[in-house]
Amino acid sequence: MTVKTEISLDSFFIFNPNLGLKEGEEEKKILYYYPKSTDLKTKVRNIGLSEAIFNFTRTFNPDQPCEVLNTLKIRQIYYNPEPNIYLVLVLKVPFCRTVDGDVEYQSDHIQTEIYLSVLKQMYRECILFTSPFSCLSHNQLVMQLDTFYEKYLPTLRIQNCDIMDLFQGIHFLPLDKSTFLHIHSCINLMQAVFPFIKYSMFLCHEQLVWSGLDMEDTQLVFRYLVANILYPLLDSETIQSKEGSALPRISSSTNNYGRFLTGATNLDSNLELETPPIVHLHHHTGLDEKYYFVIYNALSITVCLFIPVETTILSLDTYKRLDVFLSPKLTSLASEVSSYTSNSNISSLDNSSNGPKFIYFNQLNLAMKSSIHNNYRKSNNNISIDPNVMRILMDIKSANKYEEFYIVIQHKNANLIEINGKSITEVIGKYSNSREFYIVIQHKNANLIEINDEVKKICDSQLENIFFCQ
Amino acid sequence: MSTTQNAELCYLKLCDNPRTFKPTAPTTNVFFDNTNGQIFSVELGDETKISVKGKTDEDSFEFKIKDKGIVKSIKFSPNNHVLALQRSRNSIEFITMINQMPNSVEIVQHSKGKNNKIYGFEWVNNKEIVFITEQSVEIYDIDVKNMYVKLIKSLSINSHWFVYDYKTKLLLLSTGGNYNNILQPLQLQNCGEINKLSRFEIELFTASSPMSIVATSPVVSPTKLLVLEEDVVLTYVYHLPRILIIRHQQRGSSSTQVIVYTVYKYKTVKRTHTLELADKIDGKFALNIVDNLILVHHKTSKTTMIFDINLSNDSSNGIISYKLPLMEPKPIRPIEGYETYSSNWVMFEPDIIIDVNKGLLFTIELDISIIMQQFRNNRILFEFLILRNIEREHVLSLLRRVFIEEANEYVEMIQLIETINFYYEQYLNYQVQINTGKSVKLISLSEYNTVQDSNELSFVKYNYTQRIIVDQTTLYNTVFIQLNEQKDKHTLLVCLLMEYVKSLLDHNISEIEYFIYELLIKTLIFQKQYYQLHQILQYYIVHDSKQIACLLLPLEKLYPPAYQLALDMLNRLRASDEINHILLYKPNNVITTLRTNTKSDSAVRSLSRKLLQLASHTSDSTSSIEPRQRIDSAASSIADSRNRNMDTGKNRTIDIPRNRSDVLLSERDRVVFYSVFMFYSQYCKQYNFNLMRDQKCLKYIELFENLFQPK
Repeated sequence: MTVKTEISLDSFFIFNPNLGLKEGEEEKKILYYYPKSTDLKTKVRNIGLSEAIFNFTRTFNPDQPCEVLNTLKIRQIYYNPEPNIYLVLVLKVPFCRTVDGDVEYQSDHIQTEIYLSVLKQMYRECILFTSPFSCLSHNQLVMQLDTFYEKYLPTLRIQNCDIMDLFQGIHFLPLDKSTFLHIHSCINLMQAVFPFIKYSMFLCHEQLVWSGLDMEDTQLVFRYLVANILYPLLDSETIQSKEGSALPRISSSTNNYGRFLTGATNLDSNLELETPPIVHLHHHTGLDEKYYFVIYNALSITVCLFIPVETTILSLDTYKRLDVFLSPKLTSLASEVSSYTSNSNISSLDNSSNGPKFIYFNQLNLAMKSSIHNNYRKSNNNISIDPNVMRILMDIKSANKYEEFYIVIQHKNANLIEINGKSITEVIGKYSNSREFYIVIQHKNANLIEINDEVKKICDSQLENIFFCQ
Repeated sequence: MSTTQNAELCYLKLCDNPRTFKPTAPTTNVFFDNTNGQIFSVELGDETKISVKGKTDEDSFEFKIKDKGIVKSIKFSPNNHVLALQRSRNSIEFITMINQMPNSVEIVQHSKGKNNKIYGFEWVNNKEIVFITEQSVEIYDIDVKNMYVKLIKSLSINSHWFVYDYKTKLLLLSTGGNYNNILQPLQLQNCGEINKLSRFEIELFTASSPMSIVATSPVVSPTKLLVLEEDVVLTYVYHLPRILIIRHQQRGSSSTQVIVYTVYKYKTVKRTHTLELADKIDGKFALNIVDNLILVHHKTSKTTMIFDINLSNDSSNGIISYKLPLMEPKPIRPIEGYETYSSNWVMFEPDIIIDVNKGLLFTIELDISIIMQQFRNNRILFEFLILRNIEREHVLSLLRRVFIEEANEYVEMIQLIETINFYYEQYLNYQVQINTGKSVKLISLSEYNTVQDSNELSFVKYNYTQRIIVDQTTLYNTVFIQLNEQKDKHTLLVCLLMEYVKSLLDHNISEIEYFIYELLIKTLIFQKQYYQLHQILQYYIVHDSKQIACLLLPLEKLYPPAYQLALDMLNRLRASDEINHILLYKPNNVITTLRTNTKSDSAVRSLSRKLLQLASHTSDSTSSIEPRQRIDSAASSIADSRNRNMDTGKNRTIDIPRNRSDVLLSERDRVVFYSVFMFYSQYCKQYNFNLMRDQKCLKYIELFENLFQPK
């Protein structure tokens, strides 16, 4: 019996090499360490190792710090976003134990670029809530990192990271003009009625429809919101409904479907108001502005409100007025959206398992689309193709960064061959005008001409409205 | 309160130049013929002296006829050739006129039953006249030359009174019923034809309206007429013939109402509106119509109420809509030394007030600027204005007021945009139907809301040009451009533009003008809301056009994705020439350009010309080598690298060239190579030269295909 393991998180730590310089005070360097249960000695040793590697490699190339360390059993990913701040992600290399007891480490299963991107995102999402690390005092920083990553790490799902995590893109909900305009009009009206709302964001079915923020902040907020708030919420609701004890989403007193996910989560209670989380926007432009991050959810719709901390005091009454305003409007918009999506789904989506699959990513607006993933939640069995093929896709991506390319890779899928002997998976990557498009075709009796036709068909249907050199 | 202060709030006024005539006196009676607009002052004496005052002074003249007693009624035929007058209870006299003087020949025509009382007569046209008697309606043909009168049609019908409107040629008879509440409308057509419309009954009790609660049922006396002639007005309101009936306060009912019946297709009459006069008032009322507004004068309180049956305020039960006065009742603007609402006032349709005692004929006018101050709801005011026959400037000033000058609620602005587009859509539909010659369906917002069966209104056809159209250009010039000049209003401007586009689409107006989009994009750029602009373009809110693409292209410096957006748009427009131009403008883009142009021969040809041009302009240090030679060397280097790839490809599943410089040619090489090849192949085609025989050329073709058409 062969035993296989998955990629998993060994540890994750953040340290400042300039602290605890005295012998015996090395633990002061530690700003955050996961898992917490690790004994101090190991912590100090690991940090020491990373620091040593940094210092050593700097000799060869002072401009570009070391990014990754490969060993047989682990892989360390480094990120140095601010002076003297180092983030280290340590992954366990998956292995395969054969019947004879031989252990084979599959180091090619960890695609470094993906985890580099994941690590960067971990940092960026963190400073969305804390402001840059160097701006905080040591104690504050340690505390804030602890609160943030405590919640964050369980949602990370290292073993399910793939090319989508490399892109860290945004899923836009496809909508027709008029539905989009109705949503937009509702947001404008809301911001006119409640002028203290500086920015807002509108999501439906965990996909973005509208964002008043700029692209960088939108990406951060979107990624964080979906992975750390909305999906866990959905999961908890499915569990509850399976257990038959689902909490009614309709609050008894107002008979509406809306509720606040942050801030006044219970409008009926007289308890002290929760302060909504505070986000720091506009880092990339050098500003640091604090906003309350209020999230309101009604049926499939989620609206985020960004309210300047300095100028606004949120009272229960404000929340109630917002609720009265939003609830009926969002309820009707939700039904409008669902009637559109159900109409268009019937005609366009062919969800047969054998058809060609694609992944689309546009660097310039970070739009991302995939028919390989059953949904955008990270979970096992979420991708409809072989993980090996998924890795090939990633290889194509990392090999071609700068110019258009056109590559067909034939991948003889071991599992499929066993079943019908002739099946072949084709992976095609296309890159044009800052857009990337990957196609995976699984074909019996693969014939190049047929595959070519297939590719042409999917390109025509998916890319007809954009300028994309085929 | 002084009179001057009062006057400032009066939104109705009498015209400045009333027509004058000889007023009533102990021996003088005054008659008004609404059909010809003539006032007759009849002075009895040895001879009967008749002064006729027409619409202008030239139309005025005087003449005398023999005295035969008191004149009850007097009217000229429309061409003024025959004078008809009634001096006895059962006969009408005709006098022919020559040069505005009576001819000596007179004819007397008795009613058909000789003894039947004639209530009155009306000229249907120059040759036909109708007598309304207590038992019948009779139409006579008059031969002026031979002075001969002949009965051509007679309809037996008992009636108490009649009302006639010359414009619709509708004749309304009160025909009795149990409570004398049945009315019979007739339409008089030429050649004595009478079209009998379905008769209708006036409800005995004023039906309960949402605004008034009806208590006990009133006692109606069967002997007393439920409705009197003076309480009925027959006239056009909003291009449909309407019957307006004043229902006085009765025991049990709360107040006086004016009930509006609408005549559809000259066939059926339906109760459509109820005008709710202010609570608990009674007394003498009179009606006027000004610019499709119904004015209800209350003589007792000396005030006038205004109703607009097409405004979408008030309530409705689906069949009848209930209307309240538009504004607080106000008197007509007082005139120094003149008594308004005097007992000598007689009102005629549509907008005429005659003071018989002073010999003055006024028309009544609206003061729009005062009305504009009185309305609280700007949306309803807009609707009101757009339905009026007024200067466009009034509407524009309202738009400026709402959107620019006053700090209005955003909600109010978007409501107004919605209303503007409702009427804009109606107008465009009307235009389409005019152009295609289909029947026209035009309705107001209130009718749209109340009448389910829109077929009923489908025949309505009228001149739309008098209405004021607020189209995209108007709104752009009056509002958007003005807002654009105020930097602090840019956020508002973006919201309004988006709202406007949304509203246009909601009203099925998909042809949105370029300048609306242009302003939207420019304002977003000015606000640095690039990502928002990107999202708006991403959802195809902005209609694709080459102009918009050109607007986006220079934005690339500020916001790099704009380049992509512009190319996408051009691609959707199939503007391959523009795309080539843009692509070749950038360095290292030749391959992309080549790959986009493989679809058609003509595209390839035009591109090869462009490429040659480009090649001759490209400065390259190695260009001293003769082209053919360069191509040879380039070709061999390509062939080598490809062979290398193929060999290695066998061994490895994935093979991706990591360093491209050894595989592909330099930019200039590609340009030269491709253009020469294109030229060469064209040359061969032209001279029927077999390309395949040339071995070298064959190699190029192979290479070319490998390089540029990998499929």
